[in-house]
Amino acid sequence: MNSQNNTEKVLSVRGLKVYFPVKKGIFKKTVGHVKAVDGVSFDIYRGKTLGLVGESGCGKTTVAKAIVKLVHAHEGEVICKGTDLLTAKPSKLRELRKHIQMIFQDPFSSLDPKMTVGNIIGEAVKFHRPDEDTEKLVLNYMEITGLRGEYYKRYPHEFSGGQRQRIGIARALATEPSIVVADEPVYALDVSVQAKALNLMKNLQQRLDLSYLFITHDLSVVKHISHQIAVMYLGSIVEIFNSKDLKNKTVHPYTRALISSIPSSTPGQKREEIILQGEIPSPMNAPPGCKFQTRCQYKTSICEKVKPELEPINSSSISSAQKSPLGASNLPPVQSHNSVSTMPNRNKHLQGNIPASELTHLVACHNWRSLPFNIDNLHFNIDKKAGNIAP
Amino acid sequence: MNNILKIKTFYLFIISALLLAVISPKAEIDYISYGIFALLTLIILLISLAIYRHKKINATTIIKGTGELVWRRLAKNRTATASMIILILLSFLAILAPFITPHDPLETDWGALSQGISSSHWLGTDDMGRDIFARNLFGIRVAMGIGVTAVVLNTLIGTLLGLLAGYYGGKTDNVIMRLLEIWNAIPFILLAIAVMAALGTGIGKLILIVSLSNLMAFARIIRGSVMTVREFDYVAAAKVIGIKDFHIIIRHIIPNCISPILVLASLSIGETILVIAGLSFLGLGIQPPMPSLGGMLSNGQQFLHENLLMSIVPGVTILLIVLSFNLFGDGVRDALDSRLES
Amino acid sequence: MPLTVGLNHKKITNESGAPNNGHVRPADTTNLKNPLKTKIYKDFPTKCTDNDDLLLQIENLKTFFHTEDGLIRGCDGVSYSVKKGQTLAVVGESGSGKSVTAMSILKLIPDPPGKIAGGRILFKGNDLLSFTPDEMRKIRGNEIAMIFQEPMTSLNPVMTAGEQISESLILHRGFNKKEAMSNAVELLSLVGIPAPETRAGEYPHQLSGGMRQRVMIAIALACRPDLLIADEPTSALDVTIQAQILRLIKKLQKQFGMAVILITHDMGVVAETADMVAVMYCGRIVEYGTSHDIFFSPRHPYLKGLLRSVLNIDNEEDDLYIIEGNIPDPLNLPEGCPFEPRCPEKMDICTKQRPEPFFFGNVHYACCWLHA
Repeated sequence: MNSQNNTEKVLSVRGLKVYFPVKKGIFKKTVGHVKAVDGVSFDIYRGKTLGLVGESGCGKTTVAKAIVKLVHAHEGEVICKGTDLLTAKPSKLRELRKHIQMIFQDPFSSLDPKMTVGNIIGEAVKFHRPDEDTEKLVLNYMEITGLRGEYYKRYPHEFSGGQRQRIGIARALATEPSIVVADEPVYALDVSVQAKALNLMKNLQQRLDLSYLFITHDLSVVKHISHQIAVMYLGSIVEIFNSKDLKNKTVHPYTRALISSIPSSTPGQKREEIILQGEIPSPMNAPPGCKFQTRCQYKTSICEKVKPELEPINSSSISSAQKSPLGASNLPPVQSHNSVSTMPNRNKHLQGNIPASELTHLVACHNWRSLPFNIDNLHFNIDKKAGNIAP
Repeated sequence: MNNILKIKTFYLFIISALLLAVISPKAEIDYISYGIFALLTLIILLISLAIYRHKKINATTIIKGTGELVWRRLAKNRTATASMIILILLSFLAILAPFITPHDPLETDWGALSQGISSSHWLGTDDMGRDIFARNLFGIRVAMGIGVTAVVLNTLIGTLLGLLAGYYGGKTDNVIMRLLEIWNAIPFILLAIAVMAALGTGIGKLILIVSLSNLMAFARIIRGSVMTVREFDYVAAAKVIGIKDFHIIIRHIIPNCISPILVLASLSIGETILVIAGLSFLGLGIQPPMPSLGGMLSNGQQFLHENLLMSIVPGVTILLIVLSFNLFGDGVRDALDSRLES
Repeated sequence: MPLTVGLNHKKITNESGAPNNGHVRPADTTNLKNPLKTKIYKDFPTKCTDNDDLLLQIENLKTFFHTEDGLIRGCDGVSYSVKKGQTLAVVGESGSGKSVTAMSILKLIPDPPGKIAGGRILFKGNDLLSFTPDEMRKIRGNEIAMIFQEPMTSLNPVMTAGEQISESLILHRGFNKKEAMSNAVELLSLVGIPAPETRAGEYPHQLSGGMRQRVMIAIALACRPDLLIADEPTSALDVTIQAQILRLIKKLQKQFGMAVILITHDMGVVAETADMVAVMYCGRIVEYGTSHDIFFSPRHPYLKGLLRSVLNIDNEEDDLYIIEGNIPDPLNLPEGCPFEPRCPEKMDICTKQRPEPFFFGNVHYACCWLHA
């Protein structure tokens, strides 16, 4: 493992599609498909975190499940260690499983109530590293996740949510994975416990050189843990950007609306006011063209017809409207994977070995150049930290 | 702590005791009964010792395993405890039958036909001069033995089918459940008569019929709870680790579906005993001269005026056994239902 | 029980925790003139100056749960008051007793194992604890309404939205079915549901999460309650919907002049909506004050820690601040201050004695020995 190269891709997802058939009638005829995930592509770099944000029903959890093969993906590629997980043979897949582990949302249903903590964590060790001393390894993982050794023989129901989540993390780490898919790992936890869990995850990332795919609906959480953030809406990624750009440089109307809907941290503080009207349409009959059009106040006629593709924005010259949509075409060409070759050009910029910190800001919106947010010096947040305001 | 072990030992004890009882129903093989008796007494002593010591530990710590919680709830439930004690007593009576009564259940005493309660025949004799008490004890032995064996068989097959249907779902589920539905559509009594008519009577066939007739209930309940457990994240976590389906079923699914299995099993023992008694009453079950509670009852109804004891004794015994098993099963269910509270 | 409320700034206390008639404590007006001077009270006082506007006043409320494992003090001596038209946010982690307090107001505590062991709940001057179940039923849904966290499980799946709204109108207002239904449709349009006539005939499963919560609000508002208790009304919803719902509650509150008790764990929601804030920890209020007091001059170490550990996109710190340790076991709480085992500023007295409220001004207080 060459950890010095921080631009190494540990996981590449290309054109991932997950459709669930909708069946009706006595003979269970398929009458349509719910396009839960409809062409999602991204990369995860070694030691970095990609945050995947979206509202419920946007398909973010389905992406996670498709990557770890808990649901069957319709189309696309998930490349880890040079192998496509989606087409890998069962024996090879079992071998690859240990590189990608998952942390689950619900700390109560994710631990087998009939097993002791030691057995829960030890299960993975026994399976993937049968020659090693299970108990010693388990105790080691318990120690690095902040669980006391005396918990080894206790049952999950004796623990609080935060501690259970630590057990879940320890179990995920026990196979020595390089990627951890975390599906809303702090959602069910109390505020003060959330902070602890996030700090632990950050700490472990540095210590073990882990990469995270961090799935959440909470922008404040994702900003803290992620290096890059991808915003999903109805099965597609609408914007990918560096997390430091979240507040001031994002352009997609949906991203802006998400940001504005976060309650302010102190009373009296004002955010830009974009309250989205309506709710997410059903993924079964998503509108043609841009999926966000039903709630977008900047909709134009093209949005109703053509589905916008992700295109790069150079974040340093955000106001330059003349930037070519395929501005990244000087990057290394697409490797010839079977299904990638049929994919449109939009994935080109994702292929090269760009340093993660300089990843192009990508947005899927026809009108991003004319949007009001697209002005570098416009700051929506009156930054007033606690104590600075005179009563 | 060996809480779970303790519960398992307890079940193992009851089941093995009854199984052994049915293996050696013949009064002559005394030494086997003796051996079992010694063994059981030892096990019971050990268990009570373990419980006692556990209570002592419990007084100082708050840590509780699931098994212990269940045990505590069960012990708190007075009806369940009472019925458990009755069941243990009945099993001891059944196992030790040859030592308790001096009479052979098959021995006819033509000099004492249809007698009342006396010092030599504690509960009187029947129309053929056989000791009712002895017959009753051996009847319990047979009934419980067959009942438990049938339920164990039933549980094993039903659980297996339910597991397969629930875990794999889809076509497997469809095939298994539709077949079971067809099987279930055949009326039980009709099936029993048909099988007995075709293959003749016998204990083995009786057990087979009784255990196969109730498959649907088991399979359906197990299937339901497997489907619930299957959706839990810990099963997903095991899949992500890469553990094979077989091991997931063994390690995660079965332990978490064990409560409905146990409940259903303990509840259906009573029912099965009743069914066997019913079949024997109709002459389809255990064949004379082997003592059976149902047969005794059927015989007794001809002499209701002459000798009431012939009907009352087996009737009350059936009532006691079935009631105890049902109450005990209820207690187990209550204890398991709330296992994750607190 | 009538309240002998003094119009001239006097405070109500109750002697030694026993429910008593509104005992007026004289000679404390001096303290009010020197708001910055702190004073220790033997008992838990409810400070308030404008008793006219008082809608709800809880005094030293104790709700205990007698479980198999022992006594759990769900809420242990909680006092707060809500004025007409005001929003009180009750903040705390799970198990802090914030919901227990609210459920106690409506006397919806499951009994057994729960029991209201003491205190008073004065609603418009009447002690709710002395009300019979019949009288309570007239209060519930009529004068005090409640919205729950999970909109799916709190709606009846076999009744249409319109029927569920009209149910309480028929019950409390004696409307006939037709009147109630037309009222229900009006309410649905009031809570911002498009095409209310058709929506009124739909079942909960046909509505989305946000819609269901709107229906819940419409049910709660059907009888124009004076007090709305919202128990985590937005935590099951998506962020964009959350903003819509909070806004709706605010708007309706203004329109009807209702008071709102908002139970939440989200400091952001508090910052946006609350006038007064009560911070709870282990069944007790540890700090109470105006929203401004709470956010800009927090006094209790727990609140300080909580505010620092809150995740926010404005927070640029790399490593989040965390409060060490865990919430103590509710079965054996520490003898002194419940926060003492985790407190970075603990002193000797904290382990021994439960802290009294210390005041900073008229209403703002913190239960912490640091400010003695």
